[in-house]
Amino acid sequence: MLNVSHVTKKYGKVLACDDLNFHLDPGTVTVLLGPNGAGKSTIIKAMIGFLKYEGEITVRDFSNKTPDARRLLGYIPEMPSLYPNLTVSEHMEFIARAYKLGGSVGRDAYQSRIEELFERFELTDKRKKFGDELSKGMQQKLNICLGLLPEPQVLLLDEPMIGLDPHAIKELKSLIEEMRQEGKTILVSTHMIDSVDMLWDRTIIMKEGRIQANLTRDELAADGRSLEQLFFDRTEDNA
Amino acid sequence: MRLYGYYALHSFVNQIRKLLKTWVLIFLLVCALLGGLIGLGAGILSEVAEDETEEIAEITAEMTAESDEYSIGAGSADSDTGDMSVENEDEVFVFEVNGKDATSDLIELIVGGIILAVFLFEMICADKTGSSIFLPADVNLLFASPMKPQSVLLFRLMTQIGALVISSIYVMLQLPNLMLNLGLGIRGAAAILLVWIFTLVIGKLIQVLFYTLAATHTGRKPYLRKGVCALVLVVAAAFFLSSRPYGSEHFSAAAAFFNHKWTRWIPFWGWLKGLCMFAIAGETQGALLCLAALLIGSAALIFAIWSIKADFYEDAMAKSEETAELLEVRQAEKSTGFVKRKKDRSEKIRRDGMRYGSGANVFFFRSLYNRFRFAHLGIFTKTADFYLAAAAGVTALCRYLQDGTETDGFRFLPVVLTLSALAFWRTLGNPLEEDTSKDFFRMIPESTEKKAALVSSGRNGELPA
Repeated sequence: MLNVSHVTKKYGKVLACDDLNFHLDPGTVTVLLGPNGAGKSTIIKAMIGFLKYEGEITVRDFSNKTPDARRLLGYIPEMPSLYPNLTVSEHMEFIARAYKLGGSVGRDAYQSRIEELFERFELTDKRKKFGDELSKGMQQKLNICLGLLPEPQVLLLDEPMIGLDPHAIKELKSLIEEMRQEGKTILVSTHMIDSVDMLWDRTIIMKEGRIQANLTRDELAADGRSLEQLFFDRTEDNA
Repeated sequence: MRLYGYYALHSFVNQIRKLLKTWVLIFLLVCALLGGLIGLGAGILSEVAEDETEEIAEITAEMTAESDEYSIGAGSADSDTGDMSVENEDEVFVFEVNGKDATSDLIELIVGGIILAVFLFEMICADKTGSSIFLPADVNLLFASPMKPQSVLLFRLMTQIGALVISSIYVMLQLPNLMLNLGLGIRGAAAILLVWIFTLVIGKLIQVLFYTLAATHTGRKPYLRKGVCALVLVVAAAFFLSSRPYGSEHFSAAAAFFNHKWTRWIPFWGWLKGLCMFAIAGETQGALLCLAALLIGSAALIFAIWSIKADFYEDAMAKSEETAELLEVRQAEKSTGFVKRKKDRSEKIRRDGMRYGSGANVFFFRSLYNRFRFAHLGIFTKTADFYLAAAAGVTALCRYLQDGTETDGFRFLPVVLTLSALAFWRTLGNPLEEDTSKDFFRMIPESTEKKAALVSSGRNGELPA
């Protein structure tokens, strides 16, 4: 579904990603782990098409920087940034229009989706609040709703659980599971290993811009180690 | 367009709603009230003055008529009481050079100058970094959407068009003035408005084009301003050379150079100018030709812009994350959150010397320590240097203007010393803002007043890069 091929990214002299290669399959959840500065956010931003890089990234054979690929991709960034002069419901409407979700059907096509997301993330009574009137947790919830509204085929989440309350974390995990059942592709970058331990099908561990491990759950189970053990083995001591 | 319309309408309405909840509304109402009172009062006074003037004119006319009756063989209606007849205020403005009507040349120069200024400004503005164009929310919400980067850029630039809209309203309000006082017909007035709108639109497209090229190929960005400056210099040099035969008749030289008939066919600038001037002169064919060229040219420009393989999101993204973090910190009412520098500091700077102070006076000693290690000679920051140079320069200039003689270095030395002391203390900046927002300011076990006083007395405002 999403293919990363020989991707290298430098910031000046700093090598943030060094010849990365991996593939994300449909209907799987991949967890991207690594210490601070490993290059996780860099590769996610490269995948979504924000950065210039060497190499190739394709989404269902489309180059990731084309509108065709962006229709398939969804992104939930670590830090929510909202428009201060739009309300919660207006943000959703804005994104629906940006992605042209209405098509020939109009607002009805996405209105029920908006209501469903508001209900799941407890934003129904916040719909008239402006972006700058929300708490950080609420902003992150809205951020997630905005990323999920277009129903992307490939969803990239960068530290999605920071700032969320337990109910929202539960809903997010539930949604990720639903998306996996629907055959969609999810990549989650996180430090909170415990929070994704039950979710993942594949793990990619990065350190200093390189991939240190790329294993499926079954392969790790056969190795007899937990995800946390693998993480520390690969990032504290090169295997 | 629908996306932009939705965003613009809702942002505008919501901004008004927010304003209505704050003291700004009261401020606006007070201003409106004062403005109304002053305007009303001025209107009443003006009417009274007009009435009195008319009465005086009538009385004077009667006196003049009476004195004429008594004069013998005067033959002339002139009198020493003065001719109170009011000049014809409705006379159309005529600009003459060497006895010839040069109004048309003047209009063309002004129109051409304004259009050129707008285009050059838009080109230079394309040099901006993405963070000064895009909001942090654009990065998260629009960059990932299936819109072309140029569409996202145009969306954001159009939301910045507010000031241009206001100036457009001003231009519209000036049209009756231009028609009455410059003798422009309805076609000329409509042409000016159309040319103004085209100038704004094409100016924005030029900015989109240059930004797209410069941000996608970042190696070329430093040459953008240099290129614009080079263009201006080339034009200025050409004008200078062509104006030499005219001697001191600068207006004639400018008209001959900038208003030459071939300049009306220079893409966009010339076409806009041509449309305006042909319409004013009543040359419909020429005006339509320029309009057609503008429409075709604009379509070609739009096609060219949207055909470029744009890739400038990285340029916008890097700074926007910092901006978003700073905005978040500001919302939390802290003055700083994370700290980040663009440039590395010199290795020569002392890095292990903070060994002074105890209790609350650590703030005072820290400020002095930072000033001594970062500033020139331990005293002068770049800001202080600037203020000092400005003060010395102004003082020398004042002396020269006052005395009309060469300045005497010793005479203004006390002034310089005084100004230096002022510059030193001036650059201490806002002493309370940075330190008092830190958590440890509250945690240090001393009285708040003592801590605040020591911060105020020692704080550095700006540190040199």
